[in-house]
Amino acid sequence: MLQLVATPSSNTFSAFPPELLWVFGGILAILCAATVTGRLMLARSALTPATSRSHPTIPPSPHAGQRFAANWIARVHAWWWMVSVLAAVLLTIHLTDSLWPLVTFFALLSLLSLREYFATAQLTRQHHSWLLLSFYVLLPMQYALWIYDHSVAALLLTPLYGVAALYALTRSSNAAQRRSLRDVASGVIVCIYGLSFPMALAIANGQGTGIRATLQLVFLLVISQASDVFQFVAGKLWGKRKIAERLSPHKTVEGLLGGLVGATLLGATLWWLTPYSPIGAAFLGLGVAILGFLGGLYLSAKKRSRGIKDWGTIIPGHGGILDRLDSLWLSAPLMLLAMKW
Amino acid sequence: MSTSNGCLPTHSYPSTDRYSLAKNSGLTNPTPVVLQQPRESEPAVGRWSGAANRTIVALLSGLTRIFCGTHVDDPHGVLRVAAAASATESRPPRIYIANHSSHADFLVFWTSLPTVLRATVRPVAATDYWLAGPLRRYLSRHVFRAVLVDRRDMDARRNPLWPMLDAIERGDSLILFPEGSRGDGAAISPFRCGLYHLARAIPGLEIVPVWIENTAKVLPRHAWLPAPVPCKLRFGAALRWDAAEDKQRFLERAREAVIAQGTPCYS
Repeated sequence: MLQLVATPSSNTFSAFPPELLWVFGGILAILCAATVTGRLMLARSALTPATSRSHPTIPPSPHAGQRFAANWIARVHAWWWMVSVLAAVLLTIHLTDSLWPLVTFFALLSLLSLREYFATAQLTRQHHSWLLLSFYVLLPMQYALWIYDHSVAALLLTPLYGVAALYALTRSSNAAQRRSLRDVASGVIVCIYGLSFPMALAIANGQGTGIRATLQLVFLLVISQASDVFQFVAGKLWGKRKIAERLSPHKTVEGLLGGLVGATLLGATLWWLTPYSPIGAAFLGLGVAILGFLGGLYLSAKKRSRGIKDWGTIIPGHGGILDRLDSLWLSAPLMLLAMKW
Repeated sequence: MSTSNGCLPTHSYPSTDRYSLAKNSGLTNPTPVVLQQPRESEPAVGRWSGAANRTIVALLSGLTRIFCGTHVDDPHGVLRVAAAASATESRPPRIYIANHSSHADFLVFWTSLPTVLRATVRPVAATDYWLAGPLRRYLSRHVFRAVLVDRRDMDARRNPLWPMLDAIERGDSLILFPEGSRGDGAAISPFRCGLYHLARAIPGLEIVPVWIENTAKVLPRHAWLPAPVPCKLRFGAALRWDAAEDKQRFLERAREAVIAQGTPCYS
C-alpha cells in the first residue's frame, strides 16, 4: 500500500505551505470582488424600471439584468461554499499529515457524480447488474488500486475489463440495449475512471504524505475552474458565434478563446505550484483548458440527449456535482501524463 | 342491507348511501350512516409500539434517505395542505396513487413525507406476498402498518375494500399502487378497478397522483441488492371521481394523471 500517513519518526510536520496561502489569498480576494460586483449589479438593476406592466394587478417580472444579478450572486455564494470545503479538506490533510481526507473526499465526489449520472439514464430492470457492478465493484476497485499503488492496474482494469464485464452482463443485444450499454460505459469511464485521476495526481507524485503532495492538484483545480469562469464571463461579454449550438447552446467561440487565453496566462502565473518552468506551466494550463472544454462538451451532449438542463440541484446556481466536475475527467489524466512523462 | 348476523351485502362494492363515512363526508351526505358492519377485518396493528419497531422505522427511513436521497417536487402544495390539516379534526379522506416498480416505492414515498403525515399514511399490500414469511409479516404488520388485502379470492364475503374503508374511516390515508403489481419501471400497466370502487364508496375522496422515479433502478423486481441511485417524487393536484364518469374513463383519467407527473421520456 502506498504510504498515505506519515510515519511517526519522519516528523515532517511543518508550517502550512506559503504557495497555498497565496493561492487561497488570491481566491479570497477574487470572491470578495465577485460578491461586491453581484451586490452592485443587483442594486443597479433594481434602480432601473422593470418591464412595463401589462396589467396593474400582474406583478412585473424581473427583467434580464435582475435575473443575471441574482444568478451571479447564487453562483458566487456557491463558490464560497465550494472553496471553503476544499480549504477544509486541505487543512485536514495538513493537520493529520495524511492523504486519507483527500482520498475520502474524491471518492465521495466520484460516487455522487455517478449517482447523478445514473439518475437520468434510460435503464430498465435488466440493467440492474450494470449498476451493481459500477457502484460496488468498479468504483471501490478503481480507488483501491490507486491507494494500494497498483498504478498500471488502475490505468488498465476499469477501461478494459470493467467495460468488458458490462458487455458480458448484457443479455440481449437490440438497439435500445446497445444504447443503454454505451450510456453506462461512458458513465463508468467519466465518473469512476476519469474522476479518480485528480486524487491520483496527489497520491502518485512521490511528494510524500503531507500537503505539498496536493500542490499540482490545486493547480489543476484552479486552472480548470478558472477556465470555466473565464469562458462564462467572456461568453457573456463578447459571445456571438455559437461553437456547438446543438450540443451546448451557451458555448461561444469568443467564450472559448477567452477561457483558453485566461487559462494559459493563469498557468504561467501559477507556475510555482508545479515542477515545470513558466512556459511549461502555460502550455499545461492551455492543455487543461482545452481538455476541460471538450470534457464539458461531451457531458453537455449527454445532457441534451437526455433532455435535462443540469445534472442535479445540489449546488445552487450551478446544478449538480457533475456540472462542476465535467471539466476534470479529461484534463486530470493530462496532468498525470505530464508528471510521469 | 346490513343485518345483525354479520352477513355482507352481495354486490361487490358498498353503495354510497349506506357506507359513506360519517365523520369525513358529513357535508356531502345528508344522512350519514356510521359503519356498523361487523367484519372479518385485519387484526389491530400497532402504532410503532415498542422501541424495536421504532428503531427499525428509523433505520429503514435513514437508509432510504442515504441510498435514495429523496427529492420531493410538490408544485400544488398537496403535502403542505395535508400537513396543516392533520392538526385539525376536519381532514378530507385522501388516498395517494402511484406507479409501482419496486419494493423501494413505498419506502421512498413514506420517507419523503413530513413527519406529521408519516404516522397516518399506510400502504395497501397483498396478503399473499406480505404475509408469506415471518420477516415480511413483521414488516407489513408492525413497521409499515400495511392495510392487507387478499387479491386472490375476492368475493362478497371477503370484499377487499373493507380493510381500506376501515383504515380511511379511522382517519388514515392510503398509498395505493393501482397497477396491482410491480412493473418494469418503464411502462405503466392499466389500473385495476379497486380504485374506482373505492372512489365510489367514499364521496369526496381526494385522489393524489404521485410519480415515483428511479425506484426500478434502486431495487427492481427479483433483485435483492439495492443500488444507490437518487429517487424523485412528484405530487400532482388531487382529483376526484365525477359521478357521471364510468369505470373505464375514470381509471384512464387516474392513470394519465399519474403518468403526467413523470418526466417525459427522452432517448
